[in-house]
Amino acid sequence: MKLSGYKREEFLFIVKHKFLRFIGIFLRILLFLGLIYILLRPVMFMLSTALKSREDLMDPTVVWIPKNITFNNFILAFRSLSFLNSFKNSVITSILPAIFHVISCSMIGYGLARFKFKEREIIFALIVFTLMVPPQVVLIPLYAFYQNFDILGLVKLIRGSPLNLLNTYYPIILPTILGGGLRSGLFIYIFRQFFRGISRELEEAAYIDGCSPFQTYFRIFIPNSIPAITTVFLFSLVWHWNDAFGPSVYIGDFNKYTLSMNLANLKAIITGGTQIWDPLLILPPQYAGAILVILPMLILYIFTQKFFVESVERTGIVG
Amino acid sequence: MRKKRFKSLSQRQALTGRLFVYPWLIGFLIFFATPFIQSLVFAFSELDLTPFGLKLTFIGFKNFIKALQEDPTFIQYLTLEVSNTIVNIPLILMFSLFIAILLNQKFKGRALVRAIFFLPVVVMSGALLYVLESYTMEQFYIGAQTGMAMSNSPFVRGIDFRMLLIQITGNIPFVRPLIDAINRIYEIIWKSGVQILIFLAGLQSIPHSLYEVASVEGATPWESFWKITFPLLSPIILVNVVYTVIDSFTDYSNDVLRYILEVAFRRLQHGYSSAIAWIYFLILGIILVLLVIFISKRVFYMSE
Repeated sequence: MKLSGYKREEFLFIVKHKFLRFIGIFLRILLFLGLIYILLRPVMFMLSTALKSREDLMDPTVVWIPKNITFNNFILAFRSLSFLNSFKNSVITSILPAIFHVISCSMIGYGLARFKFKEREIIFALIVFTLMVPPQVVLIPLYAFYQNFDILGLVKLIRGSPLNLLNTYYPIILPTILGGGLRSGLFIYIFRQFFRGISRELEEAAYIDGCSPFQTYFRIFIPNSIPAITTVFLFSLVWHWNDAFGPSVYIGDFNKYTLSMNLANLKAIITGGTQIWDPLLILPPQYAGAILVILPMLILYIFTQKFFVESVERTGIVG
Repeated sequence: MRKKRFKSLSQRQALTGRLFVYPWLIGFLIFFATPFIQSLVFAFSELDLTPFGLKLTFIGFKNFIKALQEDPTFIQYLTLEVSNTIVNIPLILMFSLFIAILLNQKFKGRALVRAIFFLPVVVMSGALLYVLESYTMEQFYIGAQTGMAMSNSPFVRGIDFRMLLIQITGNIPFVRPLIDAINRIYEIIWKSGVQILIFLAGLQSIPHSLYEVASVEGATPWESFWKITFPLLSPIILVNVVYTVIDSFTDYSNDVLRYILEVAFRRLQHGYSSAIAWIYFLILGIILVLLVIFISKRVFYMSE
């Protein structure tokens, strides 16, 4: 320590400052460790329970690390979820909507952020309003709508009778093409905020070089909004992946069930619908199933995580 | 003729803007506005979904009266959900603001900590939440089954904080939800992911120079939090309040929403289910409007 250069008071001040800093860092580490423990604990608990054999579950000396690791729960869950088939269904019902959401919401956000027209604010208010309405309010009319799918009598004109879109994935995918669907208001909002932050000069330069508004959108706005696109794509993908509500309304065919639908029904699938069941028999496969369902998203998140976390800050959700 | 061919810049701007935005309006009219108005009509009617289409019978306010006066399950779910939300909002907000401020500082391993904190945003929702919900209860159940003798010992279980608080406060109904909130600490932490993100983005938009000025003037971090961070963050607090309310009201694990679904598709009372959904929606609207009015008065905008 360099004592010589300082006066006594200065030295004390430095020591005090360093001490407080140390305490601060220490407390922060403590807090983060605690919170991370809380956040990871359920996942860890699920993993550990799913790996336990029946003897381990009954054994009070086994808390976290099972003595005999078994994959039976995973195999049971894998079969009960009919994993491969429902994985395929989940991919269809989440990747397609996510792609459509990125395309449609970015265009709508661009229109709202960069052009002035009279009804713009009203439309934006309506977009926020759609977020507010619980999906259940419009559920039954939509159900009837998809049962006799027809727009302005066009389908009837061509086919002679309206289409029945129940038991297909169209009710989930169709609205996203036009910027509707699951939480699309939030996505439009994110894009609008992000596009507002892109500098005018860039846009004007493109116009001077002879770009049309569409070309400007493709060449200037899209390449510059990778963070917003990542955020929206990931949110949309994950929320569609985890959503069991929408599909459960429109899809009745077991072969078309998605992973999260099967997970919600896993207890019933394993017990065969009986009311009396042993939690020790149900929980481990249920946890194993939950892990299997989130695993693809988890892997995706691990790969995109750095990009996603950085991008969210620059997305400026807040504005 | 000429006047019509050459539109002014603002007219052309409006036209392109509409080109980009109107697809949404079409989707809105087809997939939202029409069903939304229809569902209001349904709420006032008795409805049968027949193979030949819908059969409507107008019955006035009967469905609403039934929901509010005759159906005990609905009222129970509704009050539970509303009180849960009202208790959760301040807790989620305070927690997420606190975490966002911590995550905004520079420290080693920040990327990793952030990644873990945003994990709930990615993995959590829908069916997984449903499985996790039972987590605390079931864990206790397993514990009770496996180590009956052990779990009765206070040293193993620790002090039952909830029971202690109930004893101290004398079980006043008003305090009860707060005490339950302690039990829901997992839920609150897991539900704060998006809010932390929103706050973090907000914190990063506050100009750093303000803090420098404050610290030169001799403000402590505590003071600069209340004089700089908090007022500048107040618009974002509003955003977060709105998001939190909407999120918890439209959450899949929500009892009321499950009940609506059950009434509609198990009991096949579609009109009644619409009425419940509308009551629910109106209550959400009232809460939101009250909150927005209350907070807007206190919001500070730097640009004004």
